[in-house]
Amino acid sequence: MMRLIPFWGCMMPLKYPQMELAIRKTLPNLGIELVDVDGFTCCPDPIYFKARNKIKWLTVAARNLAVAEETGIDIITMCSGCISTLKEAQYLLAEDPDLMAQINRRLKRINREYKGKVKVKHAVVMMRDDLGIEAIEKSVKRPLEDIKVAIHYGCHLLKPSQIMRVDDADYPSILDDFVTAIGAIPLDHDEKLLCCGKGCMDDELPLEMTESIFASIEASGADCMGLICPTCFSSFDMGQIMIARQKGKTYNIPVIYIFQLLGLAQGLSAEDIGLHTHRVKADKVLEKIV
Amino acid sequence: MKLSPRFKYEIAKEFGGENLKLCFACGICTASCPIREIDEKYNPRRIIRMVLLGMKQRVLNSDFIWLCSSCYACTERCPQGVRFTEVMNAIKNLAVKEGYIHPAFAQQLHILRQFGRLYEIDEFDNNKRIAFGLPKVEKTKGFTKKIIEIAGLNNIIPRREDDKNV
Amino acid sequence: MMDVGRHPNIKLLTCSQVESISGYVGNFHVRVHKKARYVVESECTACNDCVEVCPVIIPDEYQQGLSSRKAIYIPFPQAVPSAYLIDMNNCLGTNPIACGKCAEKCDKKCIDYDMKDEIIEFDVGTVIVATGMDVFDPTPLDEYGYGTYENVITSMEFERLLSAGGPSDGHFIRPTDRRKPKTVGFIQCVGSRCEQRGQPYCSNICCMNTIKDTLLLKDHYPDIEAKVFYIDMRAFGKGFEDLFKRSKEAGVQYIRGIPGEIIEDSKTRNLKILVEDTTANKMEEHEFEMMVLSVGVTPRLDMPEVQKLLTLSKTPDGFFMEAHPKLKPVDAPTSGVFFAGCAEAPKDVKDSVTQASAAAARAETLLAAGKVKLEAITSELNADLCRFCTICAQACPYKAITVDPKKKTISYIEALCKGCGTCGAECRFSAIKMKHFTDEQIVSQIDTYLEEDSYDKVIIFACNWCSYAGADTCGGARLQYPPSSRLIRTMCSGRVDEKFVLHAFRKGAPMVVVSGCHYVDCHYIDANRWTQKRVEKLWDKLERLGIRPERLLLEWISAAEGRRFAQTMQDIEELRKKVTKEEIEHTIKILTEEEEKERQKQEKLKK
Repeated sequence: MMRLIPFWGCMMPLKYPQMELAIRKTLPNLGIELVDVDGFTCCPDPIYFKARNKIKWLTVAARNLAVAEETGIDIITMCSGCISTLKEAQYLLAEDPDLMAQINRRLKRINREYKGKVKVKHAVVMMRDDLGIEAIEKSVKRPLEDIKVAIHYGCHLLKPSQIMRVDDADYPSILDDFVTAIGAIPLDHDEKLLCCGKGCMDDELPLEMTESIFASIEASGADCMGLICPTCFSSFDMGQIMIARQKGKTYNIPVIYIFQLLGLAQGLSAEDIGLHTHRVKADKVLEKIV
Repeated sequence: MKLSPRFKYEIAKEFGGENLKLCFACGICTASCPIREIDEKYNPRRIIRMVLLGMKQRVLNSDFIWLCSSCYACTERCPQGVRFTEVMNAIKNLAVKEGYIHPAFAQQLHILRQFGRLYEIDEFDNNKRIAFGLPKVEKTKGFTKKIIEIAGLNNIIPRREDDKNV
Repeated sequence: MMDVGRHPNIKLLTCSQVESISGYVGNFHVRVHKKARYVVESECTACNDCVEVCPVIIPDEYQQGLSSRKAIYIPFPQAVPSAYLIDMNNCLGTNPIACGKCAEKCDKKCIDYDMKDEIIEFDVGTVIVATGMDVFDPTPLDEYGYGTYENVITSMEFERLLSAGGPSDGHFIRPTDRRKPKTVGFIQCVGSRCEQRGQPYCSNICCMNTIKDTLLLKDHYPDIEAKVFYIDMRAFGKGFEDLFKRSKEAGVQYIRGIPGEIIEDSKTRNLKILVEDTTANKMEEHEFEMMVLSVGVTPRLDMPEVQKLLTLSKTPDGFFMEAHPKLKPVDAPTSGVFFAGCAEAPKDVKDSVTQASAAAARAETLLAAGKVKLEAITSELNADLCRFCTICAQACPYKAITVDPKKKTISYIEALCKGCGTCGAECRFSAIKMKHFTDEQIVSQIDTYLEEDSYDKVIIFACNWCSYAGADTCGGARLQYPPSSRLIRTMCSGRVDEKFVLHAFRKGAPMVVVSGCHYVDCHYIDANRWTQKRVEKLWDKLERLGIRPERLLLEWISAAEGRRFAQTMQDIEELRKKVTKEEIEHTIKILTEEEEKERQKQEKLKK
C-alpha cells in the first residue's frame, strides 16, 4: 500500500466534486491509500494570485508544502494548476538558497518552515513512474474498447518543461499511454496541444480558442474528450453550452476527466463517478460500454 | 506620450522579469502565441518592445496585459530564455503595485482572502458533495490573520467595503 | 588535397587516430593508430570494379544519407589517396564463402582482408590542431518537425541536393515526390543564438551560407520563389554585403521574424508556417513546398579527447581557447601547438585558410630557428623534500610535473613550465621553489611595506598580466586611488601562497587583496581556479581563528580595467577604515601564537 497525501486544491472539491469522487474510488484499486491532511489553502493558483505578487504567491505555496512536509508523506495533485504552482515553487526555492531563506523568514511568523524534502507529483506522473502502466492495466475490469478519446493535455501539466520535466512538451505521450492502458483509443487531432484559453481575461477570446479545439475534435471523429485539468474542464463542459448559446453551433462532445474514464474501466457506474452532473451528457460513450 | 526610461529596470527587478532585456526580437513568441492568433491586440514581442521603450502607462493601464493565458508556448520556444510568461507575470505584479488590476482578478483575490480558497465555500457546493457521499469542505483550519498578512492579502487593490469584516 | 598527397615533405595519414602526444615544443613524440583500410593504397587504381560487385548497400554519410554507397567505397570523389577502403562494420565477411566478391573481381589483387591496424610512432617539433567542427542536429527542436516531415531539410542536405555530384545529380528535387519545388523557405539561426536548446553563440557562417544558397537556387531555377526568415542578417566580411544585395535583387524575399512552428499538410506534403514580420508588425502565413533549416555549428563531440592529448583548454562555448584572443590568436597555451579552422571557433573557408596559413607560419618560425629560447621564469624542484602528495601535478596547468605516489617518483620537464608558480604555492613541504618572485623576495616586500604605520596600508597581490597591468592603466590614465594601496606583483594570482596572506596579517595589515585575471581569461590556462580555491579555504581558516574573513578580498581585474581598479581600491579603502587598531593587534596576537604552535609541531615532527 502506497500512502500519499492528495492535494485537492480548490476547483475539484468545490466546483467539480465528481472528479474528487472519481479519484477516491479509483486510486485505492491501484493500491494507493489517500491520507487527507488538514490545513491546506489554495495552492495558490498560478494565474490570479501569481499576478498579484509572485513572492507572496511563493510564500503561500511554500506554506502548503511545509504543511505536507511535516507529515513526512509525499504529495500527489490531481489538478494541473496545483502541480504547476507547487512544482514551480519547489524549483525556484531549490535553485536559490537566498530566496529560500527569505521565504522561510516569512513562514517563521506563522511557525512553519519549508525544508525542501517533500516530493510532489501529479497523480498521472506518479502512476506512470511509481506504479507503472501495467498496474493500471491490471486494475481494469471492463476495457473501454472502441471508445475514441481525444485527449486534451492542457498547458500546465507539461510546461514550462524545464520545471515540470514530465514529458516532451511537443510530442507528449503520458496521457495517450494512460488511455491505451484502459483499453480506449487515443486520437490525435490538429489542436491537441492548444491552450483552453481560460487564463485569458476576455469575454470572447477563450471561447474562440475552445471552439477551434472542438472543431478539430469533431473532425477527428472522437467519441469524447479526455482531460486532466479542472480548469480546462470548465472551459469545455460549460464552454460547449456557451458556444451553442452565442454561436448557435452544438458540438455535443462529452468531456470526461481521465480518472472518470479509469473509473468506468474499473467497472464503476456513471453515477458512481458523477458523470450525470456534466452539462454535456456522456450517453453516447456509456452506450458503447454496456 | 510620456516615456519612463527606467520602466525596463523596474520590470527586470520584479521576480520573474529578470531576463526581459535579453530579447532580440526574433518574434517566435508572437508566432507561437495562441491568443495572438485570434486577437492582434496581444503581441508578446511588441509588449517587450513597449517595456524596453519605457511606455509605462500604456502598458500598465492596458487591458492586453490581462490577456495572457499562461500557456507557456512562448517560454518553451524563446531562444534567449526570456521566459515571457514570467515577464508577463512581472508586468502584472507591477501593475497591481501601481494600482491597476483587472476587476476579475480583484474579485478572485477577494474570495481567496475570505476563504483561503479560489471559490466561496457555501452550502450549495457542500450539498453537492454530500449527495456524492463526500465530506463537507470547511474553511481551512488555521487560516488566520497572520497567514492573510504574509500572503499579502490584506491590501488588495482596489479596497472593497466588506473587507473590514475579515 | 591532391597537392598535399603528392608533396614530398608531407606525410598524409588517413584513417588514423592520434593516440598520444608526449614531450614538449620541438620534441613531441606522437603515437598514431592507423586503421586498416583492407585495400593496398599504392596498388589501387580506383577502377570501380570492386564497387560494382559489392552487394552491400548502406546510406552514404557524405551525401547526408540521401543516397547510398557500398561497403567498399571512396568516402567522397576528391578524397586523397584515391583508393578504396572497406567498411568492415558493414562488409558481409572476409570469408570467401560469405562473400569475397571484391577480392575476386580485383585484377591487381589489392584487396587484403587480413590487413592489420598499425601503430606508427614519430617525433615532430610542432603540432597544428585542425580537427574541425560538427553541425547542429535540429531533431530536438520539435516545432520544426525535422525528421518527421521529409520536406524539412538542413542546409547541409540542401547543399548536397543542389550539387552536381549530389544524390540527384544536381537536379533540385524535394524528398517526398522527387519533383522540383516551386517555393522554398529558409529559417536562420537554427541551433545558434539559443541559450536553451542549442548554442548561445552566433555560428558565424549560416547567414552567408543561406545567401549563397539562395543565389545558387535563383541561378539554376529563377522561377523558384525563395524566402528567408531571419533575426539579423550578418553580412560583415569583404564582399558579403554585395552578395546579400545580389540575392535581394534576384528576388529572394527576406522577412525579419522566426516562425513559431512548421505544420505539414498531410495531403500535399507542403509546409505551412505562421510568422510575425517584425519590421511590419504583421502576422503572415506562408506555404512552402520545401523548407531549409539553416543549422549552426557545434564543437566536435570528440573534442575532450583532443583536449587531453595536448592539455588544451576550452572557452565557455566549447571551442579550443587560444593563448591570447588578440595577440596570439593562432597559438595554443601549450608552446609549439597551433590552431587552424573551426576547432578554435566557427569560421568560414576564407578565415580558416587565413588562420591555417598563420598557423603554418607560426610553426615554421619555430622549426626554422631549430632552437627555442624559453623564459627563465620557471620553478625548481627539490625531489629530496617531496612527499609525493601529487598536489603540484594536479595544480600545474601545463602538466610539466608528473608524480607517481606509488613508486614515489617525481619528474619535471622544465621546458613545459611557464612559471605561474601555482605549484610552489600549493606545495606544503617547500619542495618547490620559484626561480623568480621567490618566497624571500615577496615576504621581504610585505615586511618593508608594513614596517611603519601598518594599519593604514592595504596589501594587494596583483598578477603580472591583468591586475598589475590594470593598476598601470589606472596610473597611466591619471585616475586617483587612495594612497594606502601597496602592490606586490606575482606572475599569476595562483602564486599567492597562503603563508604570504597570513604573514601580511601577522605583520599588521588591516586588509589583504588577492587579484588576478577574470575567471576565463587566466593567462596560465586555469591557474586562477586554484587561487579561488585557496582563498575560499583561507576565508574558512580566518573565520576559525576568529579573524573577520571580510578583511581578505578576492578581485578579478583585467588589464583594461583601470577605472575598475581605482573604484575597487576606493571601496577597499572604505572597508579598511572600519578595521580598528585593536582588531589588528588582536589579529597579530592570534597569528603569532598560531605560528609558534606550528613551529613547535614542526620541531616535534623532526624529532
